[in-house]
Amino acid sequence: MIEYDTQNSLVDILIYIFYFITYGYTVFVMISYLILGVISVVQARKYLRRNTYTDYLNILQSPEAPSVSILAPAYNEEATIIENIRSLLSVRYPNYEVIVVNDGSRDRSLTKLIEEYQLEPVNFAVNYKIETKKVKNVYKSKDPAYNNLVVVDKENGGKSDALNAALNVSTGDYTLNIDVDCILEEDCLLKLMKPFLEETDKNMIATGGVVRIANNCRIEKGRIVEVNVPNKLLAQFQTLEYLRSFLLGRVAWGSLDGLLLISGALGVFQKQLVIQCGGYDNETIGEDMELTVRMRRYAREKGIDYVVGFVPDPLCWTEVPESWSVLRRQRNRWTRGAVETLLSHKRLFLNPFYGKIGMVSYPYWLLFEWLAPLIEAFGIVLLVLFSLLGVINISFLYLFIALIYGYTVAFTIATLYIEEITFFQYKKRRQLLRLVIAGLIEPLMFHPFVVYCAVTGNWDYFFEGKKAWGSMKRVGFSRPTDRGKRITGGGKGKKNKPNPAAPLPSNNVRTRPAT
Amino acid sequence: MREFLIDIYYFLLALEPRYKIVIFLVIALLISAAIMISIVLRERSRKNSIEARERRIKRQVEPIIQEIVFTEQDASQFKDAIKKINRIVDSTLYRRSNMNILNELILYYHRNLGGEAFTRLENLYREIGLKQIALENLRNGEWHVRAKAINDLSTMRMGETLFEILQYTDAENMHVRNEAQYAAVKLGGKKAMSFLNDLESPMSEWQQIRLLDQSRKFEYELIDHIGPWLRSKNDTVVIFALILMRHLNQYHEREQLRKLLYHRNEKVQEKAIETAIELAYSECIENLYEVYELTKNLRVKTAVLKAMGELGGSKEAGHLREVLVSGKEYELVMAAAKGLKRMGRHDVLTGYRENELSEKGENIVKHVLDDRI
Repeated sequence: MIEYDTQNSLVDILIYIFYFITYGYTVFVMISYLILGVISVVQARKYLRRNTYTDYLNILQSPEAPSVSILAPAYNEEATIIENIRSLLSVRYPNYEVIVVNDGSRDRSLTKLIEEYQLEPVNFAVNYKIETKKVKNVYKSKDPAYNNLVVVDKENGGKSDALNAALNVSTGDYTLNIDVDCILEEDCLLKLMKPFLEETDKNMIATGGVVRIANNCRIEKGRIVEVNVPNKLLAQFQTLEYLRSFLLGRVAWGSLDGLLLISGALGVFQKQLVIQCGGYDNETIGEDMELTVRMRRYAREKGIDYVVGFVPDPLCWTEVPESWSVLRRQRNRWTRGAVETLLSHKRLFLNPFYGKIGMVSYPYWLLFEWLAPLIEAFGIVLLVLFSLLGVINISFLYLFIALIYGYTVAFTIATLYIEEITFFQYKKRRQLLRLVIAGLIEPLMFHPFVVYCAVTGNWDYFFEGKKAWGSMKRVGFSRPTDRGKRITGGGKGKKNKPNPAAPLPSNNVRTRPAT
Repeated sequence: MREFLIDIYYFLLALEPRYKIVIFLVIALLISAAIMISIVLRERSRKNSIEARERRIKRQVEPIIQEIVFTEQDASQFKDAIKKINRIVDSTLYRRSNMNILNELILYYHRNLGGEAFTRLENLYREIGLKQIALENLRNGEWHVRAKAINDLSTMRMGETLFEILQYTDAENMHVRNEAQYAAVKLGGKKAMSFLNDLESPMSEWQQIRLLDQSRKFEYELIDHIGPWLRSKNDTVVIFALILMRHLNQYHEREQLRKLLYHRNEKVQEKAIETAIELAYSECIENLYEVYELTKNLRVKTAVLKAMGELGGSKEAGHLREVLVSGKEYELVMAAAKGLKRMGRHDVLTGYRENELSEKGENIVKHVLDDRI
């Protein structure tokens, strides 16, 4: 080890600053995660205690249940659309409609729907409260059993545009926005609506729910019947990531009323407010986060005393990529979406007018979601450089890296423990051990990769100008998957191979597990 | 080995403090991770043993419960059965946990059975001591324990605990309060609903739905208290009273209903209009015109137009036609068109002059006339 012996030189000062930023920042991140973790545990337990005697039958039978429109945009979904819509139509809730938007699919999605559900075009007067691409036709079923199904056929305009078209057609007071190829729990809507109905002091504007990973789970008739840990290591890493993010991060942010993101895969919104805000933004790639932030901002600016809720129950199951290349594109896109949203709402930053989101959530996202990978990558480059120059204390650095590794592993194990005492989805001992092993490898393999993707995402956003899909460009929020007995995520299988023409396959556009 | 450890000790002792801290933290984290893994595994074993115990108790107790529920038993047989159950659940370490298992089992049977079986289960619940445990939990437990205890007592229809439960109907904790209100209605019927007379805390929509669900069992009995509730300063009580009026056909407070059409709270206004429709209160139609002019709230305006369609005559048809032709807000035009359809005035809907309706209006008329939608 070479000690740098020049006192008070510029290099010395720079090294001290570097130490301060790197070590200080890391410790700060660790402490913040710890605090969020503790809050989450308290909240999850409180939620479980409250729900030991909750009877959803009351609302299920009630004529006073508020109306909900389930908005399901679909693009080239012919392989799964029939089964998925059937699953949506069997959700347990007394007063809801399902609005499927065929966003100019090039396959037989619409034809299949017409045949299966005996659809016919009706004289629907679309209320264009939000501007969208032209709606070609609105279909209803001849069969009264599907009375609550509405199918909208429109010109292709992307996911946001499809959601906006669905909003224009919807009649419910609330909207449940989902990805059509997600698998919902049967009582998902009951649980997501409960916070709206329970809130008395403030105006509940949106609620989100926990999204879990469906890879390798056994599915029958559009329902998860057996939860398994994914077979592929990459999907196992993401399982841990989702657990940390939803079980610890979002539950805590939800209880602090600081959520900036309601996942596009699962979220209920107060429809009137979404419309007043102008609906989904067609020009953004991270439309879910952008809408959440915009709604919060709007509510604050209009003096609405609002709150955003979060339900810790696992309510929705989704596939995650099992190939590194697909994952890379997904994370790249998420980064660009987050950067875009944060920049377009930069007015929030440390602005006391916006309360917690201005003073806590926004700075947190900025520092720990956007800048964290950049700082980390920058730190690593400098460390390598300094160590080559022999100007830093290598042994201390090694120890510090060991500390970070130890912390990450301990945090992951703590997450598994919390899962164990709360929702307990992975029931076999072998499953648990697989996740523990994945947790030991994850900081060495998965985390550096995610950092790399985030850095390239920033590069693409700022230097390559990849800022949005563009209004006409096909988003491709769906991927045909043969949903057989077990879900196997995208990667090697031919049917799951991502289409290079579509920038990202379905599951890449939906569920971000950012803290 | 000893020398090796001594070497490490001296090595650590010689380190700078920051090294010591980091090493300590790394070791602490790794140890805590290992401890957590062992806790998780122990938790699994604990869960497994609880499940096994639960299965064992169920296997032994279920036949006894079934015998009590489905066969005629005299007092001595009943006492013997209780002794048997007590022997099964008795345990120095697990008595509390065993009683919980028994409690859930009896609640399960109670939810799924009716008639004479109901009464027998209730007797069993009392005699076995579960009622007493629930009351102790209610008096001494944390909020969630108290709420669960109230829930259990009301599920098991322990009517004698009503007065104790009533004390919690305006409790500070929302969950305890909600359970107590629900239990009060379930155990005490409409008389126990007098807690609404001076309820200060707001009732959530969720709670209103639950209470309505219970209240619908009164069928169409007259609820005398509804007048004071409609005049309550607590808007959520007013809304709930309106919901009750609507669903239980309470006609006797219609004059108060008329006043509520002008309520400062728009949610109350909307509910009042919906109630007027349901009760076919056509005498308030002139008031509805006033409300339509006074309010700026689109939902209230839409509700008024709906009410006109339901309750009105030819004068209202004229008003709806005016709204239809004006073609301002989509929601209003749609409500007006639907109102005309409800009145059976297809002649008005189809008999407009050329260019009298905007394109939007024409589309809406087509929409409304399409019975498939």
